Amino acid sequence: MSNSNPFEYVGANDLSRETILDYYIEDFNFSRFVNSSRNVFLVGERGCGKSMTLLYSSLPVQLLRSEKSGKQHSLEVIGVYVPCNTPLNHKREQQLLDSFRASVISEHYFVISIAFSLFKTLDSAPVMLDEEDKLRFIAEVEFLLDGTLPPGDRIFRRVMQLLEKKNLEAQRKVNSRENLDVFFAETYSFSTLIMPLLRLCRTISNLQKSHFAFLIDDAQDLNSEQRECLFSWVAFRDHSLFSIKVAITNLDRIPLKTISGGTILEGHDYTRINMVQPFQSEGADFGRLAKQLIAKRLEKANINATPEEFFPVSESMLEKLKESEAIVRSEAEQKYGEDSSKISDYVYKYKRAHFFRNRPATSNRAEYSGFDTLVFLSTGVIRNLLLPCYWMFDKTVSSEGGPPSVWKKHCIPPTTQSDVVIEQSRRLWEIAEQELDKTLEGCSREDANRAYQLLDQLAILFRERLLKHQSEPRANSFTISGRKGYSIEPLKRVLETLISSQLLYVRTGSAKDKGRQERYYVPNRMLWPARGLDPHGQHARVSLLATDLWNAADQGKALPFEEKVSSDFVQMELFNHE
Amino acid sequence: MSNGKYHLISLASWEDRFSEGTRRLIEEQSIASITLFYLDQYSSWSAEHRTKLIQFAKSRNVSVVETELAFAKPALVWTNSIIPALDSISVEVDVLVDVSTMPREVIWQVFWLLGRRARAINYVYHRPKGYGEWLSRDPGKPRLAFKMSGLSKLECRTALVVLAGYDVDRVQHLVATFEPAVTLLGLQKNSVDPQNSRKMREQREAFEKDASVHVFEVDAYADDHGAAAVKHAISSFTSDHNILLTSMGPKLSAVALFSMHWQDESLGLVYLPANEFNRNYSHGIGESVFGSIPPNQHEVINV
Repeated sequence: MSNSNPFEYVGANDLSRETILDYYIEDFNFSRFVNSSRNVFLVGERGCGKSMTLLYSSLPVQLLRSEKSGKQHSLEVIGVYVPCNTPLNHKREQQLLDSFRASVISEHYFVISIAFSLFKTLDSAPVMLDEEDKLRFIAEVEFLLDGTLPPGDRIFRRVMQLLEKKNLEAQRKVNSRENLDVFFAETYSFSTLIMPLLRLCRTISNLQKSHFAFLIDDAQDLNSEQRECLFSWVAFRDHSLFSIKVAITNLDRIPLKTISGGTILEGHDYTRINMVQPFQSEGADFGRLAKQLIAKRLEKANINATPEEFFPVSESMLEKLKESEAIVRSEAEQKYGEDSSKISDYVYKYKRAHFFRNRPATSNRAEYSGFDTLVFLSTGVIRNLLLPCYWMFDKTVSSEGGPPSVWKKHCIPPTTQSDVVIEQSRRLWEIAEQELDKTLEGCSREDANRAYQLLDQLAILFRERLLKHQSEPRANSFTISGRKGYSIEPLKRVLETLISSQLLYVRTGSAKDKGRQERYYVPNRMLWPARGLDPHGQHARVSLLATDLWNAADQGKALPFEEKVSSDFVQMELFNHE
Repeated sequence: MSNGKYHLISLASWEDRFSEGTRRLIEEQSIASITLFYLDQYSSWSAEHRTKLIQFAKSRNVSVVETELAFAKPALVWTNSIIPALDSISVEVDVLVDVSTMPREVIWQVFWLLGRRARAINYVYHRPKGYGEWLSRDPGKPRLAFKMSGLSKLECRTALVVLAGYDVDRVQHLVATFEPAVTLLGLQKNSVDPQNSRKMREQREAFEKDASVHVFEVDAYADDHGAAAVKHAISSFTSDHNILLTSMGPKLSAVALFSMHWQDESLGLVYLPANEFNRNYSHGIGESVFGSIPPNQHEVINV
């Protein structure tokens, strides 16, 4: 074992094929949809595993997977990873042109990147071309690209080189110092380049039945014209030759328009997968995914412990929780007699609340330790799970003077866990209070201030509830009511500020009236420890009036609170709940 | 500076160094005429200084042409304001650009258009006497400069060079936007500003644990404004990375980055706009630094 930190969160693009294969968890995250021939949109803010999922599905990683399991890859599905966050896609000289020519240039940049990625992918595959096929292939590519392939042994690498040459020629024309023009005429589109190339690839003997899955990562970094092109390809009905898998941070802020002015529809044109998962309890999908993920990291670091053993709960906290449980159980028994279901429901609701309510006023903040607490604190985002683990490991290595093998207890002490959690929580509040207008594009000082005030008032409300509410003390998510006739735009801007900074997450769930889905909001649970709140939460959400939320944001006015049992909450789903 | 008459290009601001600096140039240098840009969104802040300057220039027989720049519409600024304004200046006239209060994007656009004339690009920077607490807030989306966006190779990942200012968050914002494989963080090593060493330490501390960030020192007030240090820092990345350069530190470092781009068109220039400025960012005026980029330093590196 070394001091290297097993919980390091590195962007998936920086990981080797081996590491992706080692760290990726296939279960509980719908990733198998990506291997189907349907169009799939993976939606979720940064750090939720979108890039990792696409890279895992890419052919080079799948070839390695087959190799390790001693099988031969069938080449039935060829996953072509296409990154969009590139300087090429950030170019904006097109803005100096009329919309038609701008669109042509934008599509050219995108399409040439896709073609390059296609051949980079095939270059890693055991593709069989005999001499005759090779000559035909070369002739057709040279005709399509109107150029000569450079010499070399690897045919697909030679195509990549010709594409690179074409790419640089186009950029040189755009950036020419000889004239002010930024247009070039020799452009390619999906139908003039990608489709003929795919058909050509299908003539190769072991690719005749291949399906090409374009794995488009960070589609939010495409410009609007490129996104229109992408959505037009998504709208293609025939998926026998290719399909599109798109990873994107947020679909709500992006019009799903195609070039022809149509709109792609969920269910009809694509399947949407929400990568940020709503529930974090042990039995929920994210809880199980998180457990497998941390277990795998521990295993790779040769640490012989389960996640629960490596991140133990503090003994004193366990003790006190047991005491609270006993008291609450006896209350429930007096109230409900022998109705065991009502008793366990009562214990679930009030056990942790009792603990938080009865801590001495002079006591320090509750300890935030234990693997399940870490999972709750992540609010369903993988990066949020790994980062605190990283800091805890780092802190323990510093204090114990070496790797886990020399640690006294071979685990992260609960006090260290708690210290790191409180530190990270305070840091998040610092960001909320001071940094939003410095880091978020288009965020004014006023909106930054409103965003902070809203979070602050939500923390006050949830604390009041935790200490006093009679029915749902641990609710820490909310819905917005009273929208009818209320101009919600200013409030929406504040919520968008919080969502963009990942201080607030949006989920959809069943509303009170059966069958209807509604949108609800979950503040990043890492905010709560600094305010002495319980990140475990409860499967209930508070309904707040839009006008009250705006007053809290704009004037720092307290959100209304009643101690009594009320109908201001909504039970969450029966299954997959926390 | 030569003894001939200069055409001055300046961008009007509310800062003391704009009004005092321009007067200084008119009195001490040989200025024949002025192109005076101003930002529409801040026109009321700069109005008083502009009016007084025009009166002063008139009294010294210096003609002034004002050109408004649409702050929120960079494409319009380029096509409808900067290009026509520069086109109207005779190619025979020597031009002096006052970069002191000019946004970096405008500096690069003006320099690019002047660079095509195959004459030296002369510039001046007036240091302020002192700085306020903050410069800008509410960042816009970082953007590649028109015609200076570099050559992006499909095979390569991004190396981002950030010549850091005082704000750690702004560096983080850039890194989050471009997600580079490597970030080369240039920290200003000397400054008359007493805050500089503390602020640079904060930058260093913020990134020291990130293995993808390489820190190097740079001096924007050196003769080359730090170009040699930046060239050295990127030397091992140029062959297999797309290099993006951005300056958030001393204004003169933007001159160094332009000169690097002019010599190697594969290097892209990135501008990080801001939507809110501090009216009290600087006060007074210190020394004026003059410089020149020689003509025809155009050496395209073939990829």
